[in-house]
Amino acid sequence: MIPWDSPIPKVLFTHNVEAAIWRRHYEVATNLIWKAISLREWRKMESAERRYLRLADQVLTVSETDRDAFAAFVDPAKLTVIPTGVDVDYFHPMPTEEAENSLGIHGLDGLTSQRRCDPLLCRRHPSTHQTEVPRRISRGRRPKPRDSPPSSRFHRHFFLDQRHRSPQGLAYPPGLDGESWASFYFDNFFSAFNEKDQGDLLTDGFHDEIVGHSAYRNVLAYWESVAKLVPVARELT
Amino acid sequence: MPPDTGGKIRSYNILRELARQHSVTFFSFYAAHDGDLHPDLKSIFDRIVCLPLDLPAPKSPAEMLAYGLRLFSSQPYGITKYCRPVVRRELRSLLSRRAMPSSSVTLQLLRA
Repeated sequence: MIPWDSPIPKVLFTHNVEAAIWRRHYEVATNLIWKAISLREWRKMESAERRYLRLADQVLTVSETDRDAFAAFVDPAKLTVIPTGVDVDYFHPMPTEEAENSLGIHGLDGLTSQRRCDPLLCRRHPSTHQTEVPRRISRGRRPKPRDSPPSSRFHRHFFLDQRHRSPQGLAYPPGLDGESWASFYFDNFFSAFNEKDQGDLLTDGFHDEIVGHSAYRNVLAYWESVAKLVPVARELT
Repeated sequence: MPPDTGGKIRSYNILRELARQHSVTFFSFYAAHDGDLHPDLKSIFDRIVCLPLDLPAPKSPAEMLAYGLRLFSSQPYGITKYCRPVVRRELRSLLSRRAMPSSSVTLQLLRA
């Protein structure tokens, strides 16, 4: 579709390493049909990515990590990293000190395709910038019992600090990825702790009202709603 | 449009800043949807070419059929679903009609 033989210089703007996303889908898929599709798309995307990146005159990446991935098969001289900008008027350091081992709500946008995770309550360690999240959180409104992990099974993962200016920074905004946002239910947050009854109590009246929208303008109001739940969650744990 | 995901927000802001100092032609193809805000971009860019495509809804039977029809393509479905004759035709027409000055910027986006 792109006239690659045209003399006009072409800049290829990559938002992800697309092949890596499909590889992760393949690695975690449990449905055999989806696994086969993911494998096929992974291989095709890997081939297409290599081809188009080589054809482009200049390639932009969003991170050093992506640049390094592409540098394996593209001349590094034509790879340029443009980090994603941050609105520092909106995202800024918290006015108060964070509490160690406090609970937060974290958007697992980056992990969605890797570990079938949705945004959920998690325990974080501000001093080490590590966040613990339960393993194997299922998507959907009614997670199956086998997908609700024992609270003792935590997995450590590094996150970029995306603190929102909510009270004491306890609520973290998720990424604005439409797919994970759409499957984001409060039931999942609380079932992660195997506290189904408490989860029902906490989510009563909330989930149908504020989930499922991905419009940017709703994000602030949404997280303000979430922040109200956090003190309750802290008391329960 | 609207810029409501990370990739869209990033692209929108980079292009908007580029347009302050350069002549930018915005060419985009995307799934047709109600309340399409792309025409609003006229106020930002020198020229816009927007091609809403009639794509099947994600994970619908129609998309499964579309995927099946492209099963033996060497290209990934994420690319082939956008590869419509109208897109190819409009892009080539744009490039042939318009002598791109050196200050112009053309961004080719794999993901709409």
